[in-house]
Amino acid sequence: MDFDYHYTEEQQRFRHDVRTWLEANIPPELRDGMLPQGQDSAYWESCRAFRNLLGEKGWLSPTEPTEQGGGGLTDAHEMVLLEELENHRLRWLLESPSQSLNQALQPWAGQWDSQGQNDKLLTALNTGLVFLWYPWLEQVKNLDHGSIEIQALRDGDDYILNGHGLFAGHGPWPDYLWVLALAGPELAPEEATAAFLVPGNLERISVQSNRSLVAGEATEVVFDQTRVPPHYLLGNEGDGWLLTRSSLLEEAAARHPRLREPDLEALLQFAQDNSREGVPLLDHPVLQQLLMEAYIQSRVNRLFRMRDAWMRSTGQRLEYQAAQTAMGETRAALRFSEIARNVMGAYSLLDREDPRAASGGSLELQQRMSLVLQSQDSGVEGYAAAMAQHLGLGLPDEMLPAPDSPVDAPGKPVQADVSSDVA
Amino acid sequence: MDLGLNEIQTMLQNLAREFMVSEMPTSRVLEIDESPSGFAVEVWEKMSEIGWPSMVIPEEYGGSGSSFTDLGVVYEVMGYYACPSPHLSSAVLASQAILEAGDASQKQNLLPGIASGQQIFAFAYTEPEYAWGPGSVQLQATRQNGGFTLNGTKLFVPDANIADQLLVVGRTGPGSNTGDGLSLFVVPREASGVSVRVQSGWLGPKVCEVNFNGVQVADAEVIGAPGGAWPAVEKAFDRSTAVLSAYMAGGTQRVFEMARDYSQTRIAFGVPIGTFQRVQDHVIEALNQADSAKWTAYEALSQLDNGSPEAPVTISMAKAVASDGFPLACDVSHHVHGGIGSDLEYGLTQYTKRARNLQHYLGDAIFHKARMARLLVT
Repeated sequence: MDFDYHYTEEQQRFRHDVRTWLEANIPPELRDGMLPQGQDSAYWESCRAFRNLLGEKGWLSPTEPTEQGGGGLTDAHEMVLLEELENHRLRWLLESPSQSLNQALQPWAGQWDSQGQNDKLLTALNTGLVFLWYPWLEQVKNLDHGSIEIQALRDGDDYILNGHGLFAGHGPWPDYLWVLALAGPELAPEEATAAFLVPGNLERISVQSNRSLVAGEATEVVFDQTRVPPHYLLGNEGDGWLLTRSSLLEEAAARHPRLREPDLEALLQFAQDNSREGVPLLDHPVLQQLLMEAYIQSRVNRLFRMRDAWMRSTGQRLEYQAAQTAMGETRAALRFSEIARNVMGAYSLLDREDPRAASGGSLELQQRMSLVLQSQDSGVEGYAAAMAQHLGLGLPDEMLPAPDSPVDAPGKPVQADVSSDVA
Repeated sequence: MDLGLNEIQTMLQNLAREFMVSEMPTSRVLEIDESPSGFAVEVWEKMSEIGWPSMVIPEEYGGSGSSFTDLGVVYEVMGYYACPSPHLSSAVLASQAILEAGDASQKQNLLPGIASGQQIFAFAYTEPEYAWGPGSVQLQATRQNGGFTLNGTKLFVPDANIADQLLVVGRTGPGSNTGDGLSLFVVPREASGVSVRVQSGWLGPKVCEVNFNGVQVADAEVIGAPGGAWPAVEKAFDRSTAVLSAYMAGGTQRVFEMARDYSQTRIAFGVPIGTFQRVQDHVIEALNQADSAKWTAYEALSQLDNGSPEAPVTISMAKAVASDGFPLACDVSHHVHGGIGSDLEYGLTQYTKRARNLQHYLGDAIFHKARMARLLVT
């Protein structure tokens, strides 16, 4: 077994090139790697420009084909890029969900080819020319009618969207929105959901509120009789849920291990540098245990990412693992924020604007981000549901109740008195 | 990065599984646990025949010079089947301490017997003030009559009741937390002044109280330089802890599988109980603990084999994860199983008992987290 990444000479030269290029091209606004607290237009314009620069080199989608604006590089090159961006706390540029959601567009290439859209759109996504906002979903496993509050009704060839939903994505305004809408209200939502890639410049789209705990993480968008041409439908009506769900879970599976954990490093540094009642924080027996708990969880999360990456690279099929990894990270984020508050006290809540803030206020951002993560993508409940499904804990097909059949129909297992067995 | 087993490790894993299926059905584990000695000599002889006691002993001392990851693969399977044996005490803890501290003659005299399985060692370290740091050792070794005289008590010593020899850590100098003044002694279990009592309780495998009352030890039986044993003992602890973590990972995996399988087949209100979200949460918790224990253990073993300077931190991390996770996985598995889980013959309790005992052995999570913090700062 080998738990270390090894790079060839060519890959190390690539690292040198990347490092040099980043030093020369990261704009001042992005140098501390911190997201702005509000919708700072100048910041996002700078971010867009830098994404474009990355995209022009094919580094925003490093493993995608060059003809679609990707880098045509290997997984190892992508690791190098991630590690180098991580040194600037800009890894999120390559890990934003739009980078993986755009891979979900590949199966619909044929459809868009007929509309002349495919290459143009994929290239735009891969090169960072567009900001994509994606739906905020509270539950990945199942939908109910309350989960989606956007209706899509046919009007001739077009669709008319009505309703509102929460979206996540960077920038004050999206170039495209990944929209889930109910196309057949009388059907179960899993069967009636359509996914659209809606251009942000269509008429009758408005951003209701863009103030959220972390900028860009939850923005309410309203569709008021928005007319959407049919070629923006992804697949068929009814494919939307499956497509979105697999995309979001694939997004979790596509994450590479982190080289560093800047927030953990900052917390450990704070504990080394500061005392409480004369006792260095790292020597305080209770805080020491908490700090090591955070350290261990971080390492376990890294190992899970490594496992997933290794399984992918060796052609093994990920089953429950992707959801397990995402669940671990989601839980760990909230626990880390609690540990940071215990260790740092009120200092953990000082942001980048305060001169007393530790580590440039990064741990204050972590406090907010950890809460956002709890419901982003699918949240712990959704990941648990996905794991349970992979583990075969759902209802077997032969036991699914037929419409109108009694629970104790012939052939069904006999119900036992297990009241003491059920936890 | 390659997280797969190599060809030899795959063979070892298959062999270990075949061995355990044949020799360690649930009923046999229970039988051994409930026997007065807690030891199945015929199983030990078969383990010895296939060379397991020799694995991490160098070839020049009768061993096979396998890696710790190789041994970890075997231990993961042993843990999966809750296999009781004196292997860890003798073939890992004692062998590695002798290997690190002993002179050439001592290694040549002692290690081949351990490698062949002919000699079983128990490692006597913990005392009434139960702890795993060097400062906790109080057993007095006084220079006398051209040798040393041992007086004191060791507690919770696995396998002392069936061992041929005891490898005893005693104090020949002032106590400190730096490890100065600790010495290693080889004492025959039948030596005059040694008494062994199997301790009673929900303990398993057997652990013993060993009393030393004026036990005479010749200089030749002092392993290494008097007063300088701690570095060797600490290395032996690290290697054993990594291997033990793999054993605990195997046990955790089995406990998860028991919970999963039971939840798929137990019917309540017309459906398998695994369809209930609360039950699913328990099963998933067990799986999370099993996978965390597995990958931290293998990373620790890998770093041990590579001589990584980070290995001590990673080993302590693996044990902290296993010490917390194995008992937790057992707890949630009991939740899933309900009453049947308490049935001794069903098998879950064999793991629960081991989880609670191994949680402390070679240091619990609190000990290892404190050690990690010290190591990370220095």
